[in-house]
Amino acid sequence: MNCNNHKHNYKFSRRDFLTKTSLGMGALTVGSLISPSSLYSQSNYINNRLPHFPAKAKRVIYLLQSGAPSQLDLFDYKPLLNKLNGTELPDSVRGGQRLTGMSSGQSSFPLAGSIFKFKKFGKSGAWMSELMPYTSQIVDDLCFIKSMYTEAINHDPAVTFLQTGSELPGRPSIGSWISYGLGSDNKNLPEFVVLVTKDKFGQPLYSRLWGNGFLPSKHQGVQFRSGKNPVLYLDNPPGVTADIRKEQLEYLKKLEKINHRDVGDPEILSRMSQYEMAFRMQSSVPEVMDVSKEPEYIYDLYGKESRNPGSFAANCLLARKLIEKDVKFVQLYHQGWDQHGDLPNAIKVQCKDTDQPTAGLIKDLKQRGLLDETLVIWGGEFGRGSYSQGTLTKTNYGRDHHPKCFTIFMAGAGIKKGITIGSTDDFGYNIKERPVHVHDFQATLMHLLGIDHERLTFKHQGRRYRLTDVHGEIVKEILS
Amino acid sequence: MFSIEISTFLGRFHPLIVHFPIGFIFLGILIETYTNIIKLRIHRKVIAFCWMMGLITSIFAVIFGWLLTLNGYYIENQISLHKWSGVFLLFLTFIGWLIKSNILNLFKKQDFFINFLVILTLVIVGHQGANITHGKNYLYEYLPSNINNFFQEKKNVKYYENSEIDSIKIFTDLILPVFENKCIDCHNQNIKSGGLNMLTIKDIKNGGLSGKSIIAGNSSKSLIFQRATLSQDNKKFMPPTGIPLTYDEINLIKWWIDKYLNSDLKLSELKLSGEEKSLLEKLYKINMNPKPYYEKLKDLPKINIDELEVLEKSEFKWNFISDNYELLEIKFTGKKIDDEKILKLKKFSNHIVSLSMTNCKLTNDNLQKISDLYNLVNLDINNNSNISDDGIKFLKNLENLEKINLYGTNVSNLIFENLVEFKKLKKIYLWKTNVTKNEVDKFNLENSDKQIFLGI
Repeated sequence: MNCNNHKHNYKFSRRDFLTKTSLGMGALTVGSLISPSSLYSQSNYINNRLPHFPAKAKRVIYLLQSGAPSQLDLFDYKPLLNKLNGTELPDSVRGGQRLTGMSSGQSSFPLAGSIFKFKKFGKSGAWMSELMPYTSQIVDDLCFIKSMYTEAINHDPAVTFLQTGSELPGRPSIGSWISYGLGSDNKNLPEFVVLVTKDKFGQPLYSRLWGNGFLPSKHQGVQFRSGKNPVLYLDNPPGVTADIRKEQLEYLKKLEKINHRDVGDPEILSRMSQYEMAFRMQSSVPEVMDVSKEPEYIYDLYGKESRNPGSFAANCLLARKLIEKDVKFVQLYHQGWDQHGDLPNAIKVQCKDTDQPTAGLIKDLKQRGLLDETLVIWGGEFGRGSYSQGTLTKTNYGRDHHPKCFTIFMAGAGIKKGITIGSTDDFGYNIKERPVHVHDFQATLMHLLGIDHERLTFKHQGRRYRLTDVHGEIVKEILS
Repeated sequence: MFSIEISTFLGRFHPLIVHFPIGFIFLGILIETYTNIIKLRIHRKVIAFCWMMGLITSIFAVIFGWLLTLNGYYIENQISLHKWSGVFLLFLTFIGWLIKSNILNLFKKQDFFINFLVILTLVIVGHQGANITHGKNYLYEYLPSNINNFFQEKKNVKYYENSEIDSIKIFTDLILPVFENKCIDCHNQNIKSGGLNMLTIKDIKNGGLSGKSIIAGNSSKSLIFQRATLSQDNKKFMPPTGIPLTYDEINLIKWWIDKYLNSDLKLSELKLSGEEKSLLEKLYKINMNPKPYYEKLKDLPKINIDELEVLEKSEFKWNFISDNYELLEIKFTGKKIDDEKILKLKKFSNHIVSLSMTNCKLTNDNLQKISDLYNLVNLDINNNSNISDDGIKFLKNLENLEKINLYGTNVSNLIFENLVEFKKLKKIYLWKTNVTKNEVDKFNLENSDKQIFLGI
């Protein structure tokens, strides 16, 4: 239990006691003029002053590509690497950069050009490799950031950093912050829903990535699974009818109210609202998960796999349905991008899984008028290096982790269309212009939702925390 | 008399010579006052001598000052106060000398009176002169800022941070202010230095004695541009006094001559490059992005939140767009809507900027009831198959509409006649309607400001 949220703590902490009583003294004298309660700031448990300013984006779909896709084989075209294919990565380029234990022992670091063909697409002339034929068709709706960088060099800290703003576990996920800040637009569904592609392997995903951290637990992401039970333990056990469940909950509510009155722990309120939410979700979840009424051409748009529940394509389709139902933050995870070896073959499979559904999702949102209000993000937790991990052959190579630069793209609400910002050097190793840190990306995301990332805070263990810690500058160039 | 060169050469001794009369007259008054206080008797001729020297040097100061004005460097209305108060001071010094020399005897307190008057005039003349030499803010610049604000002359710089870009005209609002600050004092319809008047495009084009002042599309051959970019010690450099044009101002003039000389276009009619935009933003604080609608709706009365409960009872969900605007986004969450529910919105008709009534069996007649939501910017009525072209006609009062989502309704090609009338409309969603692609293409050709989304 988190004692910092304790209602009694708020009432009786030493600091609060001193501030309140000292103000109280003053209030005694002017008590008839002003109400002393107006002197205290709102408890930070309730954020009723959000959004801070009119939001461009109402909702977010974050297509997180877990394992770190190779930007050098997808977006960041580096002909020099092909020219110098097989020659050593110059020390001046590497600049003493630390490598992971997986390739630091290599005796040589041969540069590996992508074996995939690149071409410019659309009016914007964005470079795309042949691996993403569908996404290539919509580049004029996308905004590429080719100069993302992070501090973490391994998956767990990097994805934790991307999701929570800290490499150490324990902070709330972006979706939780948004749920906490903006609240719900549909009281029958959670504000923050998580969809993980089924039957994929690679870097592990764990629920703390969509966890609430120190925020009240009702802000945690709720994972919807494919199959009969989208939300685990949501259905009534055999023999328990809806009426019985309702009656049971009402009694439970009475007990919890007594408990809350005596103990004052806000987690009790949180749990009560979760019980009620779960009850409502018993009917709303099956409704939203039911994709049987979707017409053929919609399935075709998302690709063949979209008929296979739990696939990335099916999850993209579901994401659209959730967005239509005003879910604020839908987070998709797709594993399997961690291609240390055999990259050319493995990446083809990954692209086949994700390319068409991603493009389909963006097109589908667009025709429904939802893309104006929804921000779509595609990207991994870091990038991949320009030298080959393992043996470089004519048709095969691998790439190790590379935090110094990677590419993500965004589309939709509040984002300029058909632009690319930032660039890397000719080796695709260092950022040449406009570095965008993970915290900058997070700050921009919050900004689009009408949140000032410096003002959305939560007090925990004696200090106020925020998603971007003490960093984060909004990337103004991409705002429309 | 002299050639301009000689007179200017001599004239430039004016700032030196003016210190003599100041010194002599002060000395005279000082001796007089001091001896009066300590009751020391001295010969009055000593005082008269000081005044006489003051008078003689004053005459020189005026002559040399006058010579300095002849070269045309100074602008008459900026120096006239100094000039004529200087002449007046000379006259007062003459009277003072007459009194001190006992030639003139006017009234009893004449000594005190003339001393006071001369010192007062001296301060005024001196201050005016220093303003011309050092600039008007020289004296106050380093005062503590709160006092400084009181004295400091407000810079007459125009900013357009709150203006719409369709209200800003290139010549009138961007170019003319630069000319007004730097050129118009000498080049207007009354004083046409060098025969040039710079108040209108036509006069500028006509040019002056040196020929045409501008050549459209060719800034480097245009006299205005040439003169402003000469070396500052060149005699023909413009402006001859005061602060020269800044780098940005020069760039602005160059841009204007090269591209837009022949018209007084509005800013919104131009296609500007990023560099041009940042130039205008720097000089005039022009925000090139059109202002969002909510900035224009800042002064609406406050909504009593308790009153919004009515909406909830009618299955409307409401949100303020943010804490600092009294503007509402409304979404109907029920399955079926009717007139009675819609009429509940009437109370907040000025506050509603976004309204969503999707998939709720909305009819054309229902739409009639929202025709007074004057500030509505975003209307989403998708998936209501009862909505047809007739319904859209009821919306024509909604002048502020920027986005309308009609996908899954029964509107047809007839809708385009109505859509043209929405001046601010930018996005129209028409997927799954009876609209045909040919008509959409035709409409797009004629209305490039409006974007139609037809879907896959």
